[in-house]
Amino acid sequence: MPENSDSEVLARALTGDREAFGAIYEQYVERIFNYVYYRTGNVDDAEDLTARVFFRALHHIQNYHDRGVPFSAWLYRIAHNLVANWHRDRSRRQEIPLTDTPNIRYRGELPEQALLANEERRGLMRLIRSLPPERQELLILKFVDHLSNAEIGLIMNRSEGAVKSLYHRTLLALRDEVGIDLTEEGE
Amino acid sequence: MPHDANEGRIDMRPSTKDKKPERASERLARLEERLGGILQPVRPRREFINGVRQRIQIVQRPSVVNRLNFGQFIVVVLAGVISASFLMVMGTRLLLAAMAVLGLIKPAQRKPVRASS
Repeated sequence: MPENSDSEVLARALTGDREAFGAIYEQYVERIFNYVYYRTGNVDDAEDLTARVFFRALHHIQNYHDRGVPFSAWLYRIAHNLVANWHRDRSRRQEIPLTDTPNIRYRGELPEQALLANEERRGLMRLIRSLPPERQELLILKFVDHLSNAEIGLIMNRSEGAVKSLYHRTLLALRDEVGIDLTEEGE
Repeated sequence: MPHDANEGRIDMRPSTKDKKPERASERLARLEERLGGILQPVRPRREFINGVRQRIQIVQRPSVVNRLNFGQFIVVVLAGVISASFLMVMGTRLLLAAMAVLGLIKPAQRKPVRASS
């Protein structure tokens, strides 16, 4: 996280400088969008929630105090709360399809590769979505945003060791789920 | 929305030619590899990014207080307090003068000052 080099821009944003906040927005918008997208599985809702994350941050930026927690972690926590509210509001829906992706292209991926990988992607995404929210969050931060355990710990308010342990348990749970499916397939 | 019954089943079995059972650590490594391949960063639409950026710039509310430093703020507050006090004194004197004219109150009489010899 290149937080220190951006401390001047952040300081300006904290005084209400919209230009500085715009620069911060440009820096983090993709990461927050990715996080929200994988938590909701829906492009339209991801865009709506991402915009709301930054407007909430803009209007409450005076509440941010740098006490060892980077600004990005503060943004992720806002996103986490908004996504939790979104899930609560839509709790009656049992499943959210990850199908509306016409405007999103995976980086460096050819259309043919995307088609071939689609089935596997949907299957594994279903398994990931069956995990508890905190485990989904951990996987997104680790694989999509490529954050370290320490950085994830700051966002999830856990120690580095706790994140490492949770990650291992998540992998084991996923592996078990995959194993169950294979057994069923073999019968 | 109907779902394929085989969805979610990931073939992680070792090939039939490989007689050795796959070790747990190897399976986890393969699982991590697949997760890394599936959980790829996505790129939001440029129109969306630009639209929100414009809204951030436009929704600018004027805030006078934020532009004042502490010294200026103190001066403004003191000026306000002094002005309010002055207006209150003037108002009170005007009211008393009006009541005296109407005979509602008797104006205080000053004792004549005797010149000392």
